[in-house]
Amino acid sequence: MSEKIYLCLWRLYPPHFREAYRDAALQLFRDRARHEKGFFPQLRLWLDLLTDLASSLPHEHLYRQPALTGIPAGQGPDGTPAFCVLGGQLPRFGALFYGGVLSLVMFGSISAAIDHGGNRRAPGSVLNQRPTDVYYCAPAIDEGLKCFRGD
Amino acid sequence: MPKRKLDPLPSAAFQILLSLAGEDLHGYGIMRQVADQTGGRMRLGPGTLYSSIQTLLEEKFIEEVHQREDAKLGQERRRYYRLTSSGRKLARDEAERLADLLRVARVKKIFRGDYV
Repeated sequence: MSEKIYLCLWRLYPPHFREAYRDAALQLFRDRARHEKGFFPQLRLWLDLLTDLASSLPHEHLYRQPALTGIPAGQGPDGTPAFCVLGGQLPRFGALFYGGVLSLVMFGSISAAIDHGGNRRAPGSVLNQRPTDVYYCAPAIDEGLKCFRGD
Repeated sequence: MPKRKLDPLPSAAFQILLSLAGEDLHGYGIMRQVADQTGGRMRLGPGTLYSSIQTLLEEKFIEEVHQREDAKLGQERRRYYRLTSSGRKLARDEAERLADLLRVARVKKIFRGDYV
């Protein structure tokens, strides 16, 4: 019964860790349960396990990525390298959350930049002049060239 | 450059390296050895133990040796772990760092009689 409870708790770990060390963890649990008999040793065992769960679960979920390096590529029947996709592995919730927030921030920043900067033009740019402005220039006797805007 | 997982070296990982300095051990053996060498203050649970073992394996500070039975514990085959040369060096560096700290503590006279 206690083994089943412990196995249920072990299911809280991420799949890659859970599968890799399930048997070893269960064996360790069995060894401790076998050697720590009596009410108080058993109580201490369960307190240890719960403390261990509380401290190691966040670490495994937040900081650990499944190890992808070092896995050799498989080979197809004709000898060509074959690669598998991680179809069964869902993205972590943290990764989805940060990805969503980052996307929103980037989208908002670009929208704001377009709104504020899109209508501005550099001073002196020919685009600042109204296309309908027409200037008439004529030589003056004592002031050189004199220009008038014609509307 | 990504931060290394074992920098600084966590206490559990250091204790595991120390426990393997004498002989190859399986998970339960490591747990008991760590409890012995810390006077019972540290009892590694399966989560912390195998999380640390996984990190140490990935960094090649320990290696898994062939599975075998432990005559004292029954017929089940167990995974044994062995300290590598880089693991031994890491443990030595950490021990020297702690020894330096201890020297400073002695100079500052923060110990009471028994430890001096």
